[in-house]
Amino acid sequence: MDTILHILQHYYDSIKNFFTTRYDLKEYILQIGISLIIGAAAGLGAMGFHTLIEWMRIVINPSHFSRYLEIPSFVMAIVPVIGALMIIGLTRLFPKQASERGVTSVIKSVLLQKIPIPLFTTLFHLIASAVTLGTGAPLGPEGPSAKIGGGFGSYISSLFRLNIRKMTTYTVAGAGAAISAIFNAPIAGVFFGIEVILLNDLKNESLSALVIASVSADMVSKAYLGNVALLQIPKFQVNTHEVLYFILLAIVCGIVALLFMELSHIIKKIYRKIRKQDTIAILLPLSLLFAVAVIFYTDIYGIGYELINKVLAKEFSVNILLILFVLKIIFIALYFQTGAYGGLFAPSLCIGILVGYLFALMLSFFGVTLDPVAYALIGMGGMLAGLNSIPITAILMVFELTNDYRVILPVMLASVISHLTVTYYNKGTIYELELLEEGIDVRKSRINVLESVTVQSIASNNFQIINAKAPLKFAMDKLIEVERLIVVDDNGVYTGILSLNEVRQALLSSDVVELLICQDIVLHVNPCNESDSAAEALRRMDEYGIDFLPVVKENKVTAIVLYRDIISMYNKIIVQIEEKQYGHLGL
Amino acid sequence: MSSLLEFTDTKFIKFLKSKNKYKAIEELADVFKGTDVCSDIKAFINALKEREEIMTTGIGFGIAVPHAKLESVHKIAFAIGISKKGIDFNSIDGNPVHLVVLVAAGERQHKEYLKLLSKIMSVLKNDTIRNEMIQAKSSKDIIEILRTAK
Repeated sequence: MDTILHILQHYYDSIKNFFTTRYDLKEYILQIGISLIIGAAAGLGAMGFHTLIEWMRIVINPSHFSRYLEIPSFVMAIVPVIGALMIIGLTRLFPKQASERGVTSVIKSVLLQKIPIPLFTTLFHLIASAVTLGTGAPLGPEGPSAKIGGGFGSYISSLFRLNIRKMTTYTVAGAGAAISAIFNAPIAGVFFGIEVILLNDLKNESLSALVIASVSADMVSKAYLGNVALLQIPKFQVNTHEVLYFILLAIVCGIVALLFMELSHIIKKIYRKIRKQDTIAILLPLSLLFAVAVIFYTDIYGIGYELINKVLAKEFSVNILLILFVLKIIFIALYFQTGAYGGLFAPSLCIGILVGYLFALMLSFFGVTLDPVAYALIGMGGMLAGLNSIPITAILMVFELTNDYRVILPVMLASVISHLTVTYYNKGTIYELELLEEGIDVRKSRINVLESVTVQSIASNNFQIINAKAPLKFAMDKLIEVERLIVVDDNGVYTGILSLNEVRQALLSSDVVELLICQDIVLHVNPCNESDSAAEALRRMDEYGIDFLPVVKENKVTAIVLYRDIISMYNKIIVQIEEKQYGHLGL
Repeated sequence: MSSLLEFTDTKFIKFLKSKNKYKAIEELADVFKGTDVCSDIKAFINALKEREEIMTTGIGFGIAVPHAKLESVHKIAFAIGISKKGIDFNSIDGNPVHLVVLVAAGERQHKEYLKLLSKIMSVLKNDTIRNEMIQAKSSKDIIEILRTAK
């Protein structure tokens, strides 16, 4: 009998395993399939975007156009102005879509909002970015590409009715895939997804989808563009004994990145002030200024790949290189912060090439002979890593762009040191700091979900006030009832708080109770406003070692927020996120 | 809580001449002038007076404990004032005050402040100690009394 039961059990287990395996297999096949589709879609989107930019660049490039129509090049310098007018028009027509710009919007969508990116938003950014970059703005295609790829990932997930957890996975995969396609660099695309979108979360389940989609997108890119290299790199020599110069260049890259960020920050502050006053869009006068600069220095026009190739081909003198470097930095920062659509990867490559090349030339004045081409490539990695906080992506991207193993060691040094220089000074990456400005702190290992919860939403009206002049023994009777008291002056203006914790010591001696009034032992706690975040309230409670905080409006207390309510809200949000991630809504 | 002697000094003990409670507070608070206890004596005196106006710190038995927590107080301390003739402090028992214990604490020294006040009150509750302090001839005598007080 036992033997029969054993055999039956064996068959039951085998059948169960078979179905379980089949279910897993179905899951895996679907994941691979959808990743391939999303990769291909992101690749096609990126190629469409690339084609549109290239078409505009060739057709209306000031230097190209004047050759055919015999129009002086300075007339055609008006192209960036036309571009600016179109961008302003698009932004004013679709303000909602326009506000969700750049890589940080993809990060937010993936890590915080967990909601699909609408297809219209994706298409808007495709058009607006193509206009920006096609009319000569000195920005790069990667920010928009990530937005387009992530948007396609999100949209296709919604077509398949996938749950939020899977939608997030494929948004990341789409963003990385588009980067792979646009730079023809699949490994860099994968690491872009990890370093930028996932903020270095290597345990994230999006990884396999990201790899598959990147490969798929790169195949589309290679089929469309062929194996044409983005950069034409002449022969160069890397001498490993020049390690000290590599390190020095890395530090220079870090400092230049910091200066750029500082300039960018100043421009952003000014732009916000101007925008508040609702004056004419700053992009228009900026484009006029840019047009004037383009008349004298045509090479600052556009994304910068042509400039990179010209620098590497040794077409410029030191003086011209210095002027181009200054102009590039200023106009990139201006365009980036004043409403144009574009990213900082390609501009970083361009600035890096100029920094590295100038570094080698400058040192030659002191009798040090270095190969400027090699140092330009090292500078490219250093600047890409420093400015975008992506050391691994930078190493891989330079390797994939140069296809030369010799640059790996110096680029590794330059990328890591430049990145460390920037993060040491800034205490965070450029994306983390941008999100922090919006009140989202992602620098800790987990997202501080409480940053997006206002105290108003969890405040309680269950509090009692007491006059600061009231005897403590009177307050003690009230405290036994309510545990917490708000102390106010004769005009009802908030003074501080009293809780059982504060008076516990006074209870040790009844004579002390007789001696004191509330004012003597009030805790002058900095209250919070209704719009403050729960995270901020929690920080203040920790600072004072208390378990509640008054909420004030015009110096009058309107409510209190309790420590236990914040923790309860935190747990609730975490459960909601878990439910969204692991709920069986779709596949 | 450490010994009371850690919070006072012979320099902080004064035989008071003033008969008015506000003048007595000013006279006694002046002992902190030029010390590391308080950097703004004027603000400290004002805080003590304002507090006194709200409710008397004359708790009876010939004792008053004026006190204030202030940003400019850097070190928690107390001063002792002896008035042989007595000061009208509007005490709760209506008797003149012979022993003024003035307590200074920093804005955030909440717990230490309450502990010190409790300790002072528990020592002054003892009739013998209280009378010995009022009868003391010098600052050193008062320090000695506090040293032996438990």
